[in-house]
Amino acid sequence: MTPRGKSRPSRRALVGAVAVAATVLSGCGVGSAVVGVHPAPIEATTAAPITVDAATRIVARVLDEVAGARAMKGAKGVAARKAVMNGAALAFAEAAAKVSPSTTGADEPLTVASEPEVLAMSKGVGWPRAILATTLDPKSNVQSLHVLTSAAAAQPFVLTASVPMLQGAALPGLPKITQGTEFVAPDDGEGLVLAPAAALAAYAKAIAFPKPTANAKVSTADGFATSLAASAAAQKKALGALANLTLSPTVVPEQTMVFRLVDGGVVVFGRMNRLDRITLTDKAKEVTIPPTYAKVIGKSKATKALEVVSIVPVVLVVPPQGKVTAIGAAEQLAAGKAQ
Amino acid sequence: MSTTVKRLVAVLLGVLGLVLGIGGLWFVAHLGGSGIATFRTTLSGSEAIVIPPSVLNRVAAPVTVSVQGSPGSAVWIGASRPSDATSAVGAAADRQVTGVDVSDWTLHVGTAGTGKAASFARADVWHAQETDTERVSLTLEQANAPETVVVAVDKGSLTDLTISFERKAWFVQSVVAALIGLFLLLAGILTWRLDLRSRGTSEGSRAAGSPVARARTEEGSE
Repeated sequence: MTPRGKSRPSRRALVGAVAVAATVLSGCGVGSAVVGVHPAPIEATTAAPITVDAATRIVARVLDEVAGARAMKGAKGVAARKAVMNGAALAFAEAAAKVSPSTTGADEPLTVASEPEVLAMSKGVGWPRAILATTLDPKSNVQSLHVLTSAAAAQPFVLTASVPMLQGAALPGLPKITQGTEFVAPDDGEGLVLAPAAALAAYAKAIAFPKPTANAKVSTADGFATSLAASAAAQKKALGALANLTLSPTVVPEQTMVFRLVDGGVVVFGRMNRLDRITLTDKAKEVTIPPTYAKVIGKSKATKALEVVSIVPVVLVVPPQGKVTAIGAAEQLAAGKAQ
Repeated sequence: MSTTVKRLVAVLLGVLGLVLGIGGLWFVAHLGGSGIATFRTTLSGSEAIVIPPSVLNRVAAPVTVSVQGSPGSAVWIGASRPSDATSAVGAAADRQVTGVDVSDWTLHVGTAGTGKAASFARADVWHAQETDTERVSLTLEQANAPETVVVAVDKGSLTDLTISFERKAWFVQSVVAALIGLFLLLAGILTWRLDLRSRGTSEGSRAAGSPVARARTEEGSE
């Protein structure tokens, strides 16, 4: 009797100890905490979609591909450019290829090959996505702004806009890169002095010649507008009574991209097509077309009129208050005709 | 303290000590001095492998994913935001790593989907990516967590997948656990032996104070 009576508490003690030990060692999540295991963090869906390093690598790769594509000729060059560019950048590059590489200036933005700096990325997990970056050409000291876009997960980024900044111009502060910045619809003027689309249209009218339409909310004191006005005035003077000159810029609305700035304003990447028309008066028999234009037009002389179309990518800053200002612009002769 | 309670404490200490000691030594043997926990599985086929944050981002320590392909294969590996990886993989055939098993240091991999094998390298969603012949590795530092890793192969098949978590504290914790286990085991044994000794002493005292003992003492005195 005695041995059996003593074995019961021993067995109970053993079973209890094992149960307690098992509970302590395996349960309640204490073990996970001790060894540093925690639930995976939740994905932030409102931040920039990729890291700054990855974005920088993408920009560098795309700009290299663009430089390579721009150096290619013929159908192969066309295909290569279409693979790495779209929008205003592609139109600009195709026009440059058509005119010939010699007509592209030394400060032409797409030929700049320097280490890019990412300025901003579109926020969120959806598509399309955009990267806003800048490069500095050490030779000309010209800073360029580049917009790269990706339409879908399976589609790599391509260059959509590339515009040299105007001398003395500055891009206002953008949100922290990792936070991402939001796309703004071109017709969304909430909190802005003008809607982006309206700002582009107003700027285009303000730089027309000889009858610009001034807008109190749009500044034309930038280097591009003043240079254009001075050049047009000089041409008009040179032509005298022999011909009339008109410059008619029009906006290509579907190639407008708008990014929000920190101060609530926006930076607008737009494209204009500018029609320059020289109409001969009765006093002129013919006009000799400059060689650069002659190559595009296919004629060396015009007897009635001369028309050339230039692609003009521009970058405007539309603030919450004050005036719309241009901070970047370029132009590329694209087509022309003579009568 | 009653004998039952003393015995219970002794057994509890002994069992805890054994479990901790053996477990600690087992982890020391597997983790090594660097505290690297390596989980492995063999693979076959060319479907992409998707490793989600629930596997990769559970510890604040570097995680290295290594993949072996068949001879001559081009193996690609990339890391991105989880939603981007899902978008990039899309309808392509893939297998998901669902977890790890510490008991045999293996990876749990789900069954393959029905889509086609695809190449994802051109998608601009990857925080980091590597391509190499037959074998490629990628280390995540957790700075961009949560992340999903996708593995794909071209011209061949995947044969082996290894995920290593490096946390030096694990080695130290394992050693400490083994030492605590040893201490608890010794404490349990000592407690048991002290109980036996005290029982022997008290039984001896009870025997000396019994009527029979007293009678024997009285007989002796006469």
